[in-house]
Amino acid sequence: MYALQQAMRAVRANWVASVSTIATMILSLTVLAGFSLLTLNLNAWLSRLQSELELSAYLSDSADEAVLLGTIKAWPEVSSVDYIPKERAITDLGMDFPSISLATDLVGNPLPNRLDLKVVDPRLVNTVSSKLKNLSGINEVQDGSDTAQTFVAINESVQVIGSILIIVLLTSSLFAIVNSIRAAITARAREIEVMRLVGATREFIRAPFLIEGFLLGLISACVALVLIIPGYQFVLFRLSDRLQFLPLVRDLWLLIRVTGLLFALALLVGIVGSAISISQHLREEI
Amino acid sequence: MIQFQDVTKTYSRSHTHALQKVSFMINQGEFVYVTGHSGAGKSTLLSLILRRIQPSEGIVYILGQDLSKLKENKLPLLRRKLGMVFQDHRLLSHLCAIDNVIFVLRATGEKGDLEGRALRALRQVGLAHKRKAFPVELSLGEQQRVAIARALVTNPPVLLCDEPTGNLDPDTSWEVLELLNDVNLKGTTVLVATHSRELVDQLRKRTLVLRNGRVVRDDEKGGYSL
Repeated sequence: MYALQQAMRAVRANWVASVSTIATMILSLTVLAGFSLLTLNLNAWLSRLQSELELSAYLSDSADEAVLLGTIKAWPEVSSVDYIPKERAITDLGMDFPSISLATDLVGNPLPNRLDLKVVDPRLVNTVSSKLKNLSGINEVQDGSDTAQTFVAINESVQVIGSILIIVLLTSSLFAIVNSIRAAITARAREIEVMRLVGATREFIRAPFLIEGFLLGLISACVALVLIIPGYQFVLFRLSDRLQFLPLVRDLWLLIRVTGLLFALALLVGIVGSAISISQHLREEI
Repeated sequence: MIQFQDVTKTYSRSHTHALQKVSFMINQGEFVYVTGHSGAGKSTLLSLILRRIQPSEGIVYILGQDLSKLKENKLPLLRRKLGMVFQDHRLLSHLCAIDNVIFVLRATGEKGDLEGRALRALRQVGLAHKRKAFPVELSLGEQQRVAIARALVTNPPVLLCDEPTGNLDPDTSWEVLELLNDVNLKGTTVLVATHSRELVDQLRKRTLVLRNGRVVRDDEKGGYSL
């Protein structure tokens, strides 16, 4: 109780340093949340892409589809494979383009038999495509590898840039906390000196500063969430109609995990920052 | 109770020999002055007793404990047995007199009737009636009395005073000295570091005289002589 009172007094007394620290942490946490949500959405897109991305292997007339099906089904990269005979292929095409049936009447069915495959991960499209091309009885392979690779590259770039930015911002937050607590220590130097000389334990001396760091982290996380949650809802509202093909993340459990991560990081940075500051001070004094 | 064995303290940065081969022993219940000019080594001696610094050579024993062997986490326990009074009293300006005394009890983890104990300590120094006054509302002598109450509230066996009358006029100095003598008569060992001739001559007690970091006189009869 005493430590909490002292911590709150310090936050009020050093309000300029406290506000500056909180602002820095809010910025860091907001960027962190923004990148986390962006990554979640990109992963959702990847999953959608994964479920929709198909490779088509066009067979020669002499190909033994039963052997090919058996071989391909054994590949771990492939989640499903279907044999599409050319009769079904032309029927499917005729449903999309009715005039095709007229041409078919004149020249016959020009389409080959084919295999439609789905892969377990879009990143494996190129691998599966190469393996298909090496099989005898397959004339041509069509895949969406360019689209998939571009998408994977975008996702990985966002993750790398986001990680760098988050590390830089969290480090600056940590040092903001260290400086803020250092200001509080300087303001209470006489009190600390008295405590040390009368035989106060380190824990007693440290507690108010650790609580102050915790409070700064807690306030920052709360304010950041007040900004992030409505902000994300606004983005969902604005984009969901315009980009209907994109599966925007609305999973409550995932959002709770992002929120929990933010709180945990904010509190950790707050406590670690203040622990660094007070430990330095106590060590210097001995 | 307090023993220095060939203690030397050299400040490596400035290459200053603050104390050189200092040896003495203070027994329980003694009242001892440590005198000397500024820079003679009085503050260094008190800092060694409090283990704010470590000797470069020699051994310091406090209450039978070799301080060089004292672990860091045991240091607070040692300091709880050493009451400390400073020249500038070091009261906390945002706390009233009784809260300054209670602060020490809280900081040392004492339980029970803290306010009652703090009030008794203030009564001992004659300031119970000013318990709610803030330091700025007290005279310098009263502030020093509160500082003494703060040092005594945990009933330490040793009271260390660093120039306790340095900021006080002669009459107030005498009052503070009488108070320290009363504390000593009740069994507390009192060590007063001072360069005040009047103080040492007014109340004659054992006197250790330091000059250039060495003990040049250890006189049971006391009196100021450098």
